[in-house]
Amino acid sequence: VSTAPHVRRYAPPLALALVTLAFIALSYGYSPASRWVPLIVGYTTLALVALDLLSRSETRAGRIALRYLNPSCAEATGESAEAVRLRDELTAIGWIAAFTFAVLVVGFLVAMPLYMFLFMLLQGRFGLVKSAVTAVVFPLGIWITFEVVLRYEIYRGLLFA
Amino acid sequence: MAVFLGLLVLHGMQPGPMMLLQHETEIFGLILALTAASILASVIGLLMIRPLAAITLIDGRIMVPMVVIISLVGAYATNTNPGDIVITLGFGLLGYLMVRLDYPRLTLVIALVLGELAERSFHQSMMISRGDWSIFVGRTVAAILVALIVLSLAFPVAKALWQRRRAALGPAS
Repeated sequence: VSTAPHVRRYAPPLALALVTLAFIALSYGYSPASRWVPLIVGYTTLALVALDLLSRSETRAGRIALRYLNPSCAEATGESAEAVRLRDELTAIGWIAAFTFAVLVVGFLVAMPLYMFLFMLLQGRFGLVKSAVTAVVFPLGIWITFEVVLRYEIYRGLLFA
Repeated sequence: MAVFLGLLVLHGMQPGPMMLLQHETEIFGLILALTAASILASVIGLLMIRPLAAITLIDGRIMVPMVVIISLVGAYATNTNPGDIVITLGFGLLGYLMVRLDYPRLTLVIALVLGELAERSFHQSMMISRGDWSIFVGRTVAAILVALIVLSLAFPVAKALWQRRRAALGPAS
């Protein structure tokens, strides 16, 4: 249990380091001329990740690195971010991910009122009538703006395309 | 600035010294439009200040789905490509993670906007020099530019160190 704060502190740069290493490995698959820029970006990112790791350590060098390289972060308390619960964050991301999936499958015209109605009813705790009215009026406005006025055909989805 | 540079690229104009020569009409049109927009924005802003302030009173539980919908429709409408919707979701998550984990977002935006130009110029330089890296420091202009980059990176650290040293010496002297 006591290692949890350490894991939380070092996890972001370590995850970024893993992504960067994969990126560098992929870059070596390119032709010699094409791999220069990705490799420069990759190795520069690794150097920055190393600095990030150093600045997160509780050592003297870490505190100096944090003070000189990212003073705004050194001053931040992080209390507001910590106050957000993981469950709430995942719920918020889940709603957007579900809407994106719905858009890809059934298109904007069906997904927009559905998402609006369900979000307002379940997440927003609004009444049935208010949710339904908003779920009709707002997507109608989007449809008029994009399809009628701007003449863009908004995405119909994999099922109705 | 990053958004503006992104818009220029979106409309086929590559930001840089040649932009004024290659797109003279568009640039002067832009200047005139910006002047007119500034005047109009002032007038409209003064007239609409009260009703616009009411937007801040709209419940967040209504605003969130509206903003999400407009963002995704806008992302799709740019190229009418459904893949852009997924990319928008991915970058939205990345942006949120960056906010949550205290990483700066502006630097990433600038890198994404200017990355293509930098990569093309790098390849042009390498082709001209036949793979010789000394082209980046061999000429006077290039050497001065590299020196300026190093100075701009080192200056904030050097300044902070100098101020700290001065503060430490201050009470004693």
